[in-house]
Amino acid sequence: MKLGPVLQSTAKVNVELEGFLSDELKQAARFWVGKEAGSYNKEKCIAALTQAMNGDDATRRVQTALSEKEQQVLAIFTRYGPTVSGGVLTAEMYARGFVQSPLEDKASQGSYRSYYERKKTDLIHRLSEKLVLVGNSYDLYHSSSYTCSYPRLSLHPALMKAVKPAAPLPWSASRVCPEAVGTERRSSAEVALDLWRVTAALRRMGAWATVKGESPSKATRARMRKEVGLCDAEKDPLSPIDPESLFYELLHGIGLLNFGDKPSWIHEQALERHLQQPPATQAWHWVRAWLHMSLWQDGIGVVPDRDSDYAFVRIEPAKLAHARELLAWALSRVAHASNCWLDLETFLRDLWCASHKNAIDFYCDGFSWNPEFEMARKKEQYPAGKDRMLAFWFAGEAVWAANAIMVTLVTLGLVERGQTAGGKIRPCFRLTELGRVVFGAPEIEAVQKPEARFLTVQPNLDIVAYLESADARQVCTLNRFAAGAPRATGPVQTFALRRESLYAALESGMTLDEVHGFLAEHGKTELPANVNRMLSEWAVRRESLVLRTKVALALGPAETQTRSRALNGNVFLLPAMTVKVAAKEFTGWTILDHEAKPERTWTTDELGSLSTNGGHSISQIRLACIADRTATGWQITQKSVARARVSGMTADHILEWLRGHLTAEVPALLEVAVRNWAGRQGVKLSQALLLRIVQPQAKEALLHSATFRPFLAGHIPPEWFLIREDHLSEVRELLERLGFTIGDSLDPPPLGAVQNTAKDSPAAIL
Amino acid sequence: MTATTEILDSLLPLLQPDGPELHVNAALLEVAEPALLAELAADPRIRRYLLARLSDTVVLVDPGHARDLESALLDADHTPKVLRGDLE
Repeated sequence: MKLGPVLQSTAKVNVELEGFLSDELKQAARFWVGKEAGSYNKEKCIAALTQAMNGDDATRRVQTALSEKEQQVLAIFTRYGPTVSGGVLTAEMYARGFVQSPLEDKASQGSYRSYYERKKTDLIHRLSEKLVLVGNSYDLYHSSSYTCSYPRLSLHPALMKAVKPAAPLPWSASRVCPEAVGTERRSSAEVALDLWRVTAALRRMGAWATVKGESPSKATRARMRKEVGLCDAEKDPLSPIDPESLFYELLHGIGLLNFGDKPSWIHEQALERHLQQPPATQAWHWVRAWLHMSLWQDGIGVVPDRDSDYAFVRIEPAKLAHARELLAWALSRVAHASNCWLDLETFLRDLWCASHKNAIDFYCDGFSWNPEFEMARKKEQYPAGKDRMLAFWFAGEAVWAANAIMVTLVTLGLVERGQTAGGKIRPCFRLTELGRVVFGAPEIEAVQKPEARFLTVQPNLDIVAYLESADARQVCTLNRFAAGAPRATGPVQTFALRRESLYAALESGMTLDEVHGFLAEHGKTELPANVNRMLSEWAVRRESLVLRTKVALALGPAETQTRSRALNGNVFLLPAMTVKVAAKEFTGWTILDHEAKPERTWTTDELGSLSTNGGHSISQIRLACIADRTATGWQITQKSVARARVSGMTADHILEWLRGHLTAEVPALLEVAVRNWAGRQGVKLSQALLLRIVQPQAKEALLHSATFRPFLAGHIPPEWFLIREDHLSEVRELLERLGFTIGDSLDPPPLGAVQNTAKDSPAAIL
Repeated sequence: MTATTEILDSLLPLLQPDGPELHVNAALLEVAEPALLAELAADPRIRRYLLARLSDTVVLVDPGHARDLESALLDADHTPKVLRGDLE
């Protein structure tokens, strides 16, 4: 797959002619249709424009009716378009010399030129008037001449093939570094492995808690952190904050996560397709996802979907997307220049100038890494003017840009970072080979390399992988059948061949031959004989036990079936079929759907005497498992339940069968008995002496009395006391001595009756 | 009747329906040898999900418990090959 420019828009453009004023349509129609359109009314203009725009003549019209410069402007749109964001369009217009800033425009300094005068000569305005470029007319009206910037615009879809895409613009750096020291870079394999690990952690969760914006909740982030544990900003300021969430948002942005009521929230097939793409294609998608990632921000980490009105904790998402686009635009130009080390501060100064000074503009501070730019340190010393503005930009937005380049894009394997050599140490960077391909697309293409031997299998079943020599696809394949060491980082990592890891790979569709082939193809040494033997043994062991689901079974004479396999004299395994097909093909047979609810044919009493009216083999086998046969039917007994327990059944399992097959509810007493027989519940029974005191004050006094304490065996709230058997007479004596009237009998109310304990009760009853 | 079959009979009865039956969406466990089936049937953690024998190497899984059986087999250190609805 040939990659397009990383900033290329794929959004479909719809031109709604009805929304334009009559005069605007007339002006456009003069270009698309001809001078005669000047006399058309609105409806006629729309009809004529629709016909011309959809006709085959559109390309010729552009080539003959537009000036060379206008066609060059269109070439920007055919490179990035059909839609180009305002920031990129403005930067391109300046970089290609199609427009000058009012301060640099000498003609405007000498005499006052009205807004309308400037608008007349502006190429973008002229093309918009012809409806060759379309966009929000309000934005277009309020941009351009005063602010020297353009809004987001689209090229009319009919003209996408009218001009060739513009050639790339190489970056002209004010200063390059001859060499760099302390350099760091990550291979695409390392990045893909991180992505894979985050996916594996999410897969283990099945479904996970999210907050608004489908961002992971705090608990989900903590779990990802615990299970994956990538190097983060706390350990190294040049690592991203919350790196697992960065990869989560990449997965989200690429469209590999599903949300809703699906059993798994990972789009497994799309993930598989993504991981099997060439490394540059994968990285191209990572960058596209990063461009629009709003809830994980460079140098800040995870941010909420809504910001506080008073204390900002995040960059406003639209401004961040705009800033990332401009940075990607600059890096695309860097990709087309010679591959030198760029001084970070100088590059950002050049970017500020190229993006026309105010293009990356937002308020935020507190980034995880602050390079302490020289200009930012001296910002208060500059007098009002361009340098002071730049110095303050270096103290704010440029710190974000530094984090994006030196942390995020390094983490994604697109940028290599280092420090300038010599006395004054300053951060510098350059694009990696992968970065040049991604940002330099479509002109720069990946060089096809021969498959590298990047691993060594050791006799102890460990695999040492050299990720610098591997690509993303290879390392993901390796991770399918060999477990990576948890929390491993760096270019050399160890994987372990385990029975469970091979089993998981075979279950996911890999074959043993593929595993052997992969190890042989990428191994620096021959596969040790014991490892070969172990792999074969594990695979054979898996083959010895097969669980088949969703099959059809014929229990009876099924000679007519051609595609069947005999399992026994009278049992045949058939291809899967629906109940409807089964009923049609097997007339006269009892059809049992194992996914349907069981047949309700059992009846029972409270004591487990059970009868059945009919019943198929499943019903009969289940009955035989939990009950004993009697002359009249079946009986669930302690013995039958004990027998079921020996074969591993639990009380819940037995009750599940009863609930499934009984025509009525399971009697409560039988349920208790089943639970008791299954050994879950016990009771204690003995005689007890009870004292009942209804008056709250008297009850509290007795409860806390030291005199009574030796005679009491317990308290049953709210009003019952257990009396020790051998102290009954002492208690009676004490109560009488203290003036209590002792009733003759407890006379408890019947079960379930509502009682008013305070009314008509003696003070104490013993 | 072999000794293994006798053991199997005591652990897991053979399914013998009264009339012809067609089971759809059923789950089966197939083993390479009867001895392995005896081993599985003797393990209560696994036996609870096995309904009845279809032969000395094939068992009908209790309806609705195929996933439970798969988990139980994995917990008991077995590595079952899981297939869905085919004859291969």
